Amino acid sequence: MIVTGPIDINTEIGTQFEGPVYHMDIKRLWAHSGGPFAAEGWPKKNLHTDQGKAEEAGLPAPIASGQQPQGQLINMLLKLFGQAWWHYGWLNIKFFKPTFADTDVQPKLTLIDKEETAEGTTFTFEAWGERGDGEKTLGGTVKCLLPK
Amino acid sequence: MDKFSHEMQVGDSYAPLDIEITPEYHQQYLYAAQDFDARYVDGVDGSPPEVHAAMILNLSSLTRSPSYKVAENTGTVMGETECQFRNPAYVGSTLHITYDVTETFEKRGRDYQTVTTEVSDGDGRIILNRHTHVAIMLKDKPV
Repeated sequence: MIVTGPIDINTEIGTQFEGPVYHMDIKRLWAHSGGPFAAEGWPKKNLHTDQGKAEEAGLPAPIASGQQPQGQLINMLLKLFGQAWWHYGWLNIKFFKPTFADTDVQPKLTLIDKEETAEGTTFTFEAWGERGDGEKTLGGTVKCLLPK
Repeated sequence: MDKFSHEMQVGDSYAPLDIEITPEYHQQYLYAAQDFDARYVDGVDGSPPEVHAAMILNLSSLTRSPSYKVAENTGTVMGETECQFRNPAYVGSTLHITYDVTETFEKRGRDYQTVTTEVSDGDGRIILNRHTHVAIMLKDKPV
């Protein structure tokens, strides 16, 4: 389901959540990885912002910083958990395949465990960022306590 | 610390970063993230606007340390990261970010560093604790 608001405490194990499809336009990569707009020579040249630097690294095109799809995942988690995410959010993510400039990526979660304690309910998810070709750009585990 | 990244050992630290989160710089990240949620623009429950997670993650990346540098024909690539969020960060605050090398290891013929990062604000509140496995790349073993 597309995430539009807070998670329901009764959500069943196996439920899948999806965020928006993000188009990784090169201008978004410049804004994220090119340094401050006001800096001289912006955007700073690196493999996230510049075709030549990407080719030097053996890549066919600039790639999004891994922090960009990771941030998209967290956007979805903030919608699900609200302020609790900032205090109790935890994730462990591996980076698998690059997200190239001018391609699409979508954050996804599957609920794999719920644990109720005196403090509240801890939700555990399998989490990943899915490229337009169906390959995972990153993936791992996410947890968050939703306090009572 | 005047070492190239591939020379860093356990116990070494990259130089810390102190950075003011101005509204202008923050807005740049909102554009990058395609996310202008009210929490990042107006704030929540009377607090200042919150700093976007992608900006916190980017600033806590090893490459943002002022002393980060790589030798010719080398580079670094993030392989895995573990993040524990502690508190929201606010636009207008100055964040202090430390980058300590806490482990080195080899995996599939490639050298890695574990960099332990802490992000805190001017009030001493911890924002994020992070451990990242960084691969040291050589030109003959590209990304």
